[in-house]
Amino acid sequence: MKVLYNWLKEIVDFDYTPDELVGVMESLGIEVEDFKYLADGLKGKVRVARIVKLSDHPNSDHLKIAVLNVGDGEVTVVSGAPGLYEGATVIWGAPGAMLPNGMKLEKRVIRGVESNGMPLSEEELGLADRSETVIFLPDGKFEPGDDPLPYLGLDDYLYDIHITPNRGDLLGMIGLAYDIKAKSGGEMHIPEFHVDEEPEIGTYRVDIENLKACPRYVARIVRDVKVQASPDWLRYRLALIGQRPINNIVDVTNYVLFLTGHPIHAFDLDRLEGDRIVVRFARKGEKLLCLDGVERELDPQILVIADERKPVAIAGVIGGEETGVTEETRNILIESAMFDQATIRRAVTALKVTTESSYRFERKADVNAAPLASLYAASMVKELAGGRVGPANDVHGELLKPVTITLRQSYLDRLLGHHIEPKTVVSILEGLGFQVENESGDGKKLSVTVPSRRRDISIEADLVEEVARIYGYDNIPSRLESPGSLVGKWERSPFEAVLDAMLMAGFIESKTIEFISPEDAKYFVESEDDLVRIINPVNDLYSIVRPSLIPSLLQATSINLRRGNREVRLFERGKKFKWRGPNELPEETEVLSVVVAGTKEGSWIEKERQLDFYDLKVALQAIEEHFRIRLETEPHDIKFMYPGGVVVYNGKQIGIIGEIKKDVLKHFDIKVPVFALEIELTELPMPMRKYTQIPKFPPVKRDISILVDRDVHYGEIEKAIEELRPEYLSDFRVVDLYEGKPLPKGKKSITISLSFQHPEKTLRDTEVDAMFDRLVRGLIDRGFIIRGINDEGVK
Amino acid sequence: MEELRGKVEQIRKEFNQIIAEVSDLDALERLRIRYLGRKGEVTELFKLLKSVPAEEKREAGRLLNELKNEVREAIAARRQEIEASFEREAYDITLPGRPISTGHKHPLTQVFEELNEIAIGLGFEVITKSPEIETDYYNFEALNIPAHHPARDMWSTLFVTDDHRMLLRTHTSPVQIRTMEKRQPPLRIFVPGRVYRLDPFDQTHAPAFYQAEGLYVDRNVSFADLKGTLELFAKELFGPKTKLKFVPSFFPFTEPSAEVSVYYNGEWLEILGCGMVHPRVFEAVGYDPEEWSGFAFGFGVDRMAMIKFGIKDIRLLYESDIRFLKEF
Repeated sequence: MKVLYNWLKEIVDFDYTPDELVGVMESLGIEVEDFKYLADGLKGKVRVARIVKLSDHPNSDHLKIAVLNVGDGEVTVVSGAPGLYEGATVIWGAPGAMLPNGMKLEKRVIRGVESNGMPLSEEELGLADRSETVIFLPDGKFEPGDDPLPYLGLDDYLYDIHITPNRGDLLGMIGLAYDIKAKSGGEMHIPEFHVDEEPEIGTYRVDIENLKACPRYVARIVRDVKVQASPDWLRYRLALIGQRPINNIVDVTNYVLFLTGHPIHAFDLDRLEGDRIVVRFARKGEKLLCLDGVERELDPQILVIADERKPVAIAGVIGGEETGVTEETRNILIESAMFDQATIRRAVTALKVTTESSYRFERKADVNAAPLASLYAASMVKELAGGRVGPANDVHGELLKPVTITLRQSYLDRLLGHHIEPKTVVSILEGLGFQVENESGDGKKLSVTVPSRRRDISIEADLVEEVARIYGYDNIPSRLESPGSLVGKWERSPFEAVLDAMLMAGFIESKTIEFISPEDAKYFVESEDDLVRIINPVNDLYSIVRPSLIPSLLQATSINLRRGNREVRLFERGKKFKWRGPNELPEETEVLSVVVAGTKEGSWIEKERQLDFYDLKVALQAIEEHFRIRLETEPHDIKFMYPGGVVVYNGKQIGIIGEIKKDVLKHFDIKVPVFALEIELTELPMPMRKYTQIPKFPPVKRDISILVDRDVHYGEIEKAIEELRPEYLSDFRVVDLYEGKPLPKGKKSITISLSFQHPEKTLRDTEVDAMFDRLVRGLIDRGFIIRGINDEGVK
Repeated sequence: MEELRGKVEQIRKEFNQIIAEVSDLDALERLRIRYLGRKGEVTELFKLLKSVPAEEKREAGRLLNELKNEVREAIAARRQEIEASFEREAYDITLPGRPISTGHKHPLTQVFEELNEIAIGLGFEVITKSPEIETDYYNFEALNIPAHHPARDMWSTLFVTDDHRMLLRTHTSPVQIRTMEKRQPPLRIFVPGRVYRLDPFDQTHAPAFYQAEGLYVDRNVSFADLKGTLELFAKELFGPKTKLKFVPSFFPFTEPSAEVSVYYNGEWLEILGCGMVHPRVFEAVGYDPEEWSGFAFGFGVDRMAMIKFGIKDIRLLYESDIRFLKEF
């Protein structure tokens, strides 16, 4: 909301400078988003001037040369403004003036004639959207050389303030003034309005069908009004707070809204059909052409103001075009009503429209403000448009009673951690316009009655905030006690532990957002019923809550490769989501995902090479090492991988690993192979560290070469060795993989280095040989061919 | 004897010529074997000793030992020379080593670790496990944000069911409710986590980002404690001279509520919202607001990271550009 310093000062006394007021408002919880002096660039550079001589420009058929009396002398200006005349009082912008639109006035020669500044229009001064010509000031009020800024309302400061949703009462100057008053201690000067009601004008019938949706409706007829432009002060004031002046009636409704915070509407009485207003919910299929030129379809959850035939306004939101006040209007009906916030909010949500009016009703208007606002409006209408004012027809149900809340000193002190003297508390609350009764006599228990405009206050804690707010948060000292019985801790999980493993293995941590597109998602689920869909996504690209982190990491891979980052080794820890139907929250599982793609940069010592599957596999090794666990990988069909497999821990599938299929890569615009894995972290144990005796005696090594068909996985041999594992076999690893001559076609040789070790002694050759032989026999029994032992006939 | 003397001289001369040309260790080893090996030339010479007359044996022995020592030392010296030359030629210590791939922690992870540490130091228990898709009840109702209240506009919400009962949590505050439902006070928790909003990506907004929040419930927890805690928190995070400003604000789940700004690099930056737990929130979880009081605070972690690292565009945090990630 836009607030003028001078306007506020008319309503409440305070000594704050315009700059200080910013700090005061902030200390009250009113955020000042913008603050400026309106006459910046104009002060001292604009003057009242009188045209003393006017002549045609010799080199132009539309320009005039005007000699202006500017108070302390005469200046010549060239102007093309229509309607200039000798004796006219205008506003002269001197060279050097900076107009609100950013234009700077300078001494210029216009078609051979020197021009010193120019007469200014409302548009140029930021007081209207468009102007036909310059401002002609009323005769007899100004002398050349006078400062016109106060008249224009420009010698003022504008604050753009943001009001939190609980403080609807601050959306009017009077409500705002109450808050300032509480801080400044100054007097309030609420404008007093009076109007002589003429009973013979009669009242207008109002039928409210639903008193919950519309608890109050004040209707008032004003006859024989003269619709015309509002006086300058009103037009300028509205323009400066961002409201376009329309005519005196509409301007009054706007002015009353900004003054009181209570929305008002005026109908052209003669355009209402029948003789009553009905406040009801819209009927299916009803439409209304609104004042903003948009025709809106209504539905039965939208409350409307209707005449006997049709809706004429969307209650509390916007009026209808057909019944609006125009220059032809003679008789009006002023509506000052109160609407339920939820009802208005439903309409606003359904119609996707917000107005100054709906914004206030959504934030709880003051039911008691309705008759007052009606009176204000009637009085102003009479003053500005003449006419005869009828009595108000105030229709309402049971009115809200003022809320009375007990405030205990003990509660206040406990919640704030600071003692505020009862005297101060009382004066703060009274300053806010609350009624305070000293229930206990000593200030330990106060009975506080809150005016109806402060509907945000309903419990004792609300009063504590009011006291603290005015007292000043800065004046409450900070306190810090020792932690007491509560100990700070963080029960870390594999989610945290896996970070170290990945960093040690040299992977780079990535964070991507959880949203992907349906096109991305379809590759990664067995059934699209498993997808968690956002019903109101930012856009379609972000409409699925991901079922896997791999699509996000493929996006990241694609971006990196396209940007010339050739080595992609990324991991991310996050959640994958799975739909479980509308009656259960989706399943959320913490996973680790890793992708590897691109090229390992070469150097003088090593050649550049493509990253491959085994660059990915180290991630599993790092986890095994860090968590002290065994992870097995078994070939398995994976929808988006080939070859692919599952990662098994403790007999349970906890993840997948493999190469991403070509069609998936194509979808992500990736042209190189990508290797990826994803494992569920929830299944992993926390890493356990326990000391085991370091062997004192050196291991004895034996190599074994096994000849297998090319498509046999090493995992099968590994499994066999694990099962046959001789007692003192401490370790074994693949040291060579060979295909080609002299091996038969379609065969490969896998050489495994075996380490035998006894914890307490050096093993003798005979002991090792015995274990080795047993292992070899076991392998042969399982059908393996050991080179140099049973490979006769295959060689 | 003279013959011996002649042979010694001849061997010495030949040896000196050859060794001067030996440039690698293998050749040197062969040379050593040729002269000092079991059948080496010098060794063979010693066999002639027995044919030397007794009175000359002493002199001859001295002559031969002298030669043997000379050859041995020459070979040792040459070996050192060759090895030394090896070292110079084989390693250029100014060359880079083998390329390595280094791990990098995401800047947000680094900020989380720092935040969690500070929180632990202040006696908070860090809770990292919580649902990110929530019910309306936990995200709004229980936090005193009724349906059709304009306060709901403070959080532009993404829904996963048509009836809006299930949604992507808009803040970490549902964890307050979930934790209080399960435990009895006193409690002091710190909850970092993912939150979601209906915001398209731009320089300062992301549809998914991180928040962290603290909650402390005990007897006599006060606004003064809230101020003290946050001031210390900010000092740990931004430096010992950090100043905070508390101004009144509005959150449906706290009363009184405050917004906190930090003075950083010459300007006040709004970083955090906080307040005293609203009695209705306590009532929702069955705590007696007459017995217990508490404070809560919450802030955007991405914003914190951006301030700390001088990152001007939030999108950088989620794009995974490796050049960016390697800066951390």
